[in-house]
Amino acid sequence: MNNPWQRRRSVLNHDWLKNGYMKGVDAFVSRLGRQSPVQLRIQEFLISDFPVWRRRQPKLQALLADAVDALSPRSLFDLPPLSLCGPETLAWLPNLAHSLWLARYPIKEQVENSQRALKRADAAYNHIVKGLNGSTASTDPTRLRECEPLFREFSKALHALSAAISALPKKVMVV
Amino acid sequence: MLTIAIFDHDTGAELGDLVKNFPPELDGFSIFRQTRRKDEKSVPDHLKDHDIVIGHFLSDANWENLVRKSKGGQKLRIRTSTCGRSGEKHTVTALGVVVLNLCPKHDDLTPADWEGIIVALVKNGVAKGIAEGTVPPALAKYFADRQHDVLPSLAVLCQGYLIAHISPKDTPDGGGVWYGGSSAVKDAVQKMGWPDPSGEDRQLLIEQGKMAASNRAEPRELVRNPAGEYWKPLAGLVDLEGQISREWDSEAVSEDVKWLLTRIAENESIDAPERVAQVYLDLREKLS
Repeated sequence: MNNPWQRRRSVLNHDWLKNGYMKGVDAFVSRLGRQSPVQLRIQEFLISDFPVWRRRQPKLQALLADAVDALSPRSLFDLPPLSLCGPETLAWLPNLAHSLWLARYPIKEQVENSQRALKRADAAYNHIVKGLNGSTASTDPTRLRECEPLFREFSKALHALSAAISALPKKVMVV
Repeated sequence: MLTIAIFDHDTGAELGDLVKNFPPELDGFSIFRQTRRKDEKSVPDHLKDHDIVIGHFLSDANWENLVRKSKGGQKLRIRTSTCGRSGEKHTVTALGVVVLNLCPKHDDLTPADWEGIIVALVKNGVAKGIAEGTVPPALAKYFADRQHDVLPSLAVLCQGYLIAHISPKDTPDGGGVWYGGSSAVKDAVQKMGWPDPSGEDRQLLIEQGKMAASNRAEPRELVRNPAGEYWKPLAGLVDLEGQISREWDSEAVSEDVKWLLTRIAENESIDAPERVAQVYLDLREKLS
């Protein structure tokens, strides 16, 4: 957990997405399915919680963009003892270790899979906003009921995204 | 009779893995389980009174609050997580409460694991010893923070060493690698990813291998020559062998690893690819 990228992943995926945002979305979806949902809670979620996705999505995107570099054995050359290698070694060994690692593990596929899952979640979010006529503050019961399948789709996409990010390696795999 | 409380915030519709994987009963203990709590807004206050609390908490503040309120007797608090808590420090509070962090993911533990952990921890001084840095071998996989600083570096240097010994005229596109008659070398280079016939970056890898194995007397000479720079990052470490032994945990370091460390420390020529290959294979088993 000392690796800064692992810490970022833990805060974004485990703490925020899995144990915070997703639970909020799931609770909202189940509330929508009730006969007479509490309007105040519905409103609270739509105004305060739901739009947080907009702020966090770029952070998730950046996390995934940094994943390959952060998880590669090449990153070991930034720290002692390998940072003490001389220029003759640094000319070839970091890139060789990186390429061997890519050959051993389907890391690129895993990251691309996570990025696709993020795109799907973002698209699902945008469908909801469009469905609510561009405003996440809309609490019109009829419109909300119409959007229920979209919220379910969003929830499903978030679960897939969280699982994909969790599946990325927990440490730099050197062998 | 000691009491154990298990609290898992992450239960949803089903029992959380922490609760599910804990033994239904343990001789000499009374077990309390807090289940089906979807959040931590209402962490039960009585948790603080139990002798042992094993908790999967989302909120640091709630956990710290529980630890702060715990007092009297030999209280033990073990915090767990679905992604493991490796890297978090064990402590003993001013009131003598021992706080441990479970390194592996709690989903990976079986009831037998938990039984072994609890029985070992309640022995006099064991839990406090862990918090102060002495982890018994039997509990190392649960509470020893496996910071591998040198082993991964050694593995990377071994990879470079072995690839540098691939003959430039005998690259995979020409029909193979230099095995030196050693099955260990063949095994090691294949396991390290060379040459993955289906790998997207295969050609790049081959080019890098050619560069590493170039006839310009380097880097093959570089990786063999102790006076050169290649092994210097490790040769310069204080107590290299001791550091490796600590990272290797309780088991004995293999003879091949000892041989390589001695060569590095004493600036001797490292001219036995088959032994370096065996070191790599040993490291692979240890680190994977």
